[in-house]
Parts: sequence; structure tokens; C-alpha cells
Amino acid sequence: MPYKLVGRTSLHKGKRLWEIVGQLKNFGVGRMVVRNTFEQQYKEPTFYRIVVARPMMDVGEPHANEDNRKGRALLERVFRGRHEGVVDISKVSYKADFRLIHKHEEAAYIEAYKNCKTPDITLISPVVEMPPLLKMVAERDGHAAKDLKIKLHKTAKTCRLAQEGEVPTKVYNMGLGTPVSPALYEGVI
Amino acid sequence: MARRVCRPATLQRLLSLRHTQLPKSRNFLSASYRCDDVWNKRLDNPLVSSVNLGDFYYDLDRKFKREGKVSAIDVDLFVNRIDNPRADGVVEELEELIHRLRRSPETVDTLESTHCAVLRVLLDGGYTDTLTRLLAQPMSYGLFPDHPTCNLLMHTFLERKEYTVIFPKNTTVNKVVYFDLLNDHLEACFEKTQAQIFQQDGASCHTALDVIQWLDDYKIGRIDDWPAAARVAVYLMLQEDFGPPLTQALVLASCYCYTTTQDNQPWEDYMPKVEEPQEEVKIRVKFLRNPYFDDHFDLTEPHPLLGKTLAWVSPLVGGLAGRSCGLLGWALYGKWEELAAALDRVATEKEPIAASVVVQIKSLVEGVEDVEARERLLSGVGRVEAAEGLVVEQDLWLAITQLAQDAARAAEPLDIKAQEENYRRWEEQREEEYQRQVQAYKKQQLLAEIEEKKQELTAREEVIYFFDNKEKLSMMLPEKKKFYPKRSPAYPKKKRPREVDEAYIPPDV
Repeated sequence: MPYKLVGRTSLHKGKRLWEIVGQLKNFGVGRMVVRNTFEQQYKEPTFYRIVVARPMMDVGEPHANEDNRKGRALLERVFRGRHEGVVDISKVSYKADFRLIHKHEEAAYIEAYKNCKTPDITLISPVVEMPPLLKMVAERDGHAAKDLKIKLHKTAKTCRLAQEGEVPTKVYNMGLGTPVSPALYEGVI
Repeated sequence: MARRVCRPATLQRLLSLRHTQLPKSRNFLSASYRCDDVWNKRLDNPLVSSVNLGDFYYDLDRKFKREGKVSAIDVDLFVNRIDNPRADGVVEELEELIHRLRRSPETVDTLESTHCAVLRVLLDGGYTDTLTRLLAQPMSYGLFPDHPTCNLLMHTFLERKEYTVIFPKNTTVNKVVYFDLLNDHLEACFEKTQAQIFQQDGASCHTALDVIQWLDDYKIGRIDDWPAAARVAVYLMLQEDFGPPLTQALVLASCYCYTTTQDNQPWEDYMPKVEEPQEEVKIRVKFLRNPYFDDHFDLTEPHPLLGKTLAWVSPLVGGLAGRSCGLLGWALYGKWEELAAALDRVATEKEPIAASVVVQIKSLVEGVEDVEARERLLSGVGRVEAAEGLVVEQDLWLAITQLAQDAARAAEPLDIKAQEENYRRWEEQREEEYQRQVQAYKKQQLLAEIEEKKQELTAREEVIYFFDNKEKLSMMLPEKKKFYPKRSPAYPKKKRPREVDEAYIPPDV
């Protein structure tokens, strides 16, 4: 009778990064890999190129598929058509979700990356009008400022604040704005 | 025993006859390709020559058991020190060390020369079975030879096969008995069975030095290196790195040679197997893995592996040999759509292919279960056959050998130069790595000494300044445990006398 594994199911299909890297000369430096889930999820090209791979070669429990899970991996990442530079993906390298790109397929991925049009970066107006109550309080207290400054989160990638002299493409105002389905707001706005 | 060896004159005559029937000349590379002179110079290096194999292995073994660590430079020195691969137990020790190094994080420091040295030791010692096993398990042994080494391996295996003569498998006997048996019966058996290959396994009596020497003297190759050339070719395919034209031609030759031989050749599955218990054992894991087959590293059967190798290498080689082998490759790999596309290409571009391949493809296509696909493929093959001048009667093996020989002629001097350069560079690398290791050890030792000295000074300081710090030290002492004496049993608690109510009158019953 065989070993029977019991555990949660997952949607990942593929191999661990270390299982691929261990089969390749020089730990696959320069070769390309993809995450199967990303490939299914996004239509934009998403792939990695191995820069540094140092497997721990942990033995664990081979009969339970619990080996070759750890190591340090620095990979050059192209995520949804955007080049993100070298990133450390050691923490997700254990996921059985990687697939090696064969050398004759590499050109197609790079071509797709070059042809991929990334969405334009939105220029956001750096200031926003004060809310009505705050405006009244500011007036009462004699503050000179009429606007609030916007601070973007550092992970924001598709937008940035408009510099001086640039025309912002997106300006935020107080109020409800135009709803997506105005029919629902009849008599309210 | 020496007297009895003089008999096989007839055998030699027979062998020479048979040579004319076997494919000719697999001698693509000259003996100087091995670069033995430069390679053996490593033994003159004081770093390598100062190693005593037995003691060194003992030390490394102890170090591994004590600290659980293997050092890449130590393994490299051990491997490079081996000058007699057939010495007792050397190969087992080598395998153990390589395995330990691979399964430790230090594997990233493995020196370039280690790969080459291990393979050369196994090749020279005639341990072809071990060699293919180690090469086929990169997760456990991690041998990744460079192109010249691959060329050397494939060439040696192809060349050895030329002398191969079959002989029925023998039961286990000791060296002397086996030797007598060979002397007495090899000729008779050879004539009687009309055999072509001499087969023996890796039993100790078979691989004894005298027997090997005898077989080598009479140019009788050993069966154990039969599919090894194809294994090396498959390794190159898995790495997707077919290298220069010489390597490509040798890959083509190795795979073609294997696939066209009719015999049932052994192709062992070296995938590590896990021993299963008698009863069902349930193991809790965080996540179950979905079944996945990557069609590359997971392939184990010889036909898909060799088919894939042929299919991938053939566009690089080109020409009639390349085209024909490409078709054969897709058929063996079982990729019928690609085969149909390749057949169409042949038909439209009007490029000739070899007749022998068409026959092989037909026989493979007839095994396809899907009727529609089979009909389509057969019609494709029929179209190619019907076209004039597309199928030519040409010996494909000759064409491949010609390719290999041309490539060898062009590449040999350059490769020899490159290899010599590599060997020299590896020596320097080894020296550098050794110095780095020594520096690291010295640093470690120095740090340990400093730590020891610091502890000693702290202890002395404590003694010298004891009275100054007496209060502080006494604060640090653990509080005295309060002693609670047990209640002494000498004075047991006295029972109060029972109070009797004198006015109580018991009721009448």
C-alpha cells in the first residue's frame, strides 16, 4: 500500500522552482521560467529570467513531496507587460507553480513583451479640495490653505502625481461625481 | 592462465570478419582529443599530489558526520587525485562524496573541474553503468559536463560499440572460472548462436582487471556501455544546449545508432524510488500537489527521449541527415501533428529524405490508435513517397558519420586548444579556491581564539575586582530557597475527646 497524502487542495499546477533549477546546468542562470497561474490569469506577458539561484537542497520528506522547497532566488521579472527589474522571490519559490520556458519559446515571450502596450500612466492632480466641514473650520480658524495635498501610496504603479507645468488627467473633487448608472440615482442627485 | 589465452586466434578471425558487416569507422576523433598530457599535469600540482586518497576520504567522512558539511574544494581535490580508477572502493567513495556535496547548500560552489574529473574517472575505469546513472540524476549528483567532455564521452561509447560481440549472460562465478569459461566457450558459443554482441553485467568476476584486460586485448567491447552515448545525447537535449556542430553531429549519431538497432537494449529508469510500506500510511501535508507532467524532465521512456533529441537537434544539423532524423524524431516522440507538418514541409519544399527512415516512420505510424490521425499521416507519407526524387536510397548512417567526421576535422584542433586552456584555468581556480578556503579557516580559527581570550579575561577580571563588585555580585546570586520543614510526625495532632450530651436519652424502638 502506498503513502497517502492528506492536506488542502490548491490550484497550482507545475513544479517548484528548485526542482527546475536543480535539473539545469549552472542553476539555470539566464533561463526563463513562468508561473502557470499568472499565465492563465493575465493576458499580458508575465515571465521571469533567473539571475541568482542558490538552492538549499533540503531533503525533507521525499515520499511526501516535501523536499527541495528552500533557497534564495533573485529573478528578473516582467509582470503584466511591465519590466520590474530584479526581485527576490525566495518566499514563493516553494510553490509548485513554475514551468521552464524552452529556449525556442523564449523569443515569442520577449516579442510579446515588446509588443505589449502598457496602460498609460494617469497624472493625478496633486491637490484636492477640502471637505465642506473642514473648509468651514479652516475659515473660522483663519487658515490660509484651501486645498489638501494628495499623498500616493508607494506601490501605486499605474498613476503618479502631476508635476508643475503638467496637465493632470485626473482631478478629484468633493461630491458624489457622476455615477456609473445615473438611473439609480434619480431624485437623489 | 596465460597459456590458455593463446587460443582465441579463431575468435579474432571471426571478429575481423564481422567487422566488415558492422557499420564502419566510428573513429571521429583522434587519441589526442583526450588531452591526456595536460590533464595528467594536475597530478604534478603539489596541492593535488599531497592528498592521500584513503586518509583524505576518512577525514572528509568524519567531518561530514561531525559537522554535516561538505566542502566543494575538498571533493574537487579528492576527485582530481584519483589516478587509478580501478582501485578498490574508489568509485563508491567518489559517488558518496559527490552525492553529499550535491545534497548540501555548498553545491553552488562546485568547481568546474569536478564535473569533468568525475566523468573521466568513470570513463577510464569502465564504470559506464555508474556514469549513466550519475548523469541521469542531476538532483542527486549534479554532473553537468561541458561540450568537449560530452564529445569525448559520446565518441568513446560509439567507438567501443564497434567491437561489441554478444554472448549469453552468465551466472555468478568467480574470476578464475569465468576466465576459463570465456577461453573455452566464447568461440563455440559465438559460432553456434550467430550472436553479434557479447554481454556481461557488472559482477565482480566480470569486471576483474584480468578479464577486462583480456577483453580489451582482443578488442571485445563490453555491453555495459551500450546505451550510454544516447544517454549523453539526452542530457544535452534536456539542457537544450547542443553546442558546436561536432557535438550536434555526435548527438545525431548516438541517437540514430540507438534507435535503429533492433535489439532490446536496456534503458534503465534511474528515477529515485521511494520504498513503500506494507500498509497504507497517511501523511499530513500543507497542500496536496496536483498531478503534473512537464514533457521534458519527466520523460523516462527511451523512445520519447531520443525522439525529442533527434527532433530538436536535426534543424541545427540540416541537410538530408538532419531532415530524415527530424521526421524520425517526431515519430518516435509521438508528436503526430509536428510529424504531419514536417512531412508537408518535405513535400512542398521538395527536399529529399532517406528511404530507410520512411520505412521506420511507416511502421511507427501504423501503431497510432486514432484512425483519423493515422490515415492522415499515412497519406502524408504516401504523398512524399509518390513525389519523384523525394525518397532517395541512401545510407543514413554513412551520411551522419560523414557529417561527424567533417565536423571533427574542423573542430578538433580548436577543441584541443580550448580544453588545454580550460584545464589550465581550472588549476588556477582550484588554487584560488583553496587559498580562499584556507583564509576562511584561518579567520574562523582566529575568531575562536579571540573569543576564548575574551572569556578568559572576563574570568580574571571577575576574580581581581571581586571585592569592588561584591554587592553587585551578591545581587546576582539566586535567592536562597526558603526551607519549609515538613510537619513532624513525632507530634501528631491530638484528637479532641468526643463530647457527649448528658441530657440525651435514646428513643425507644
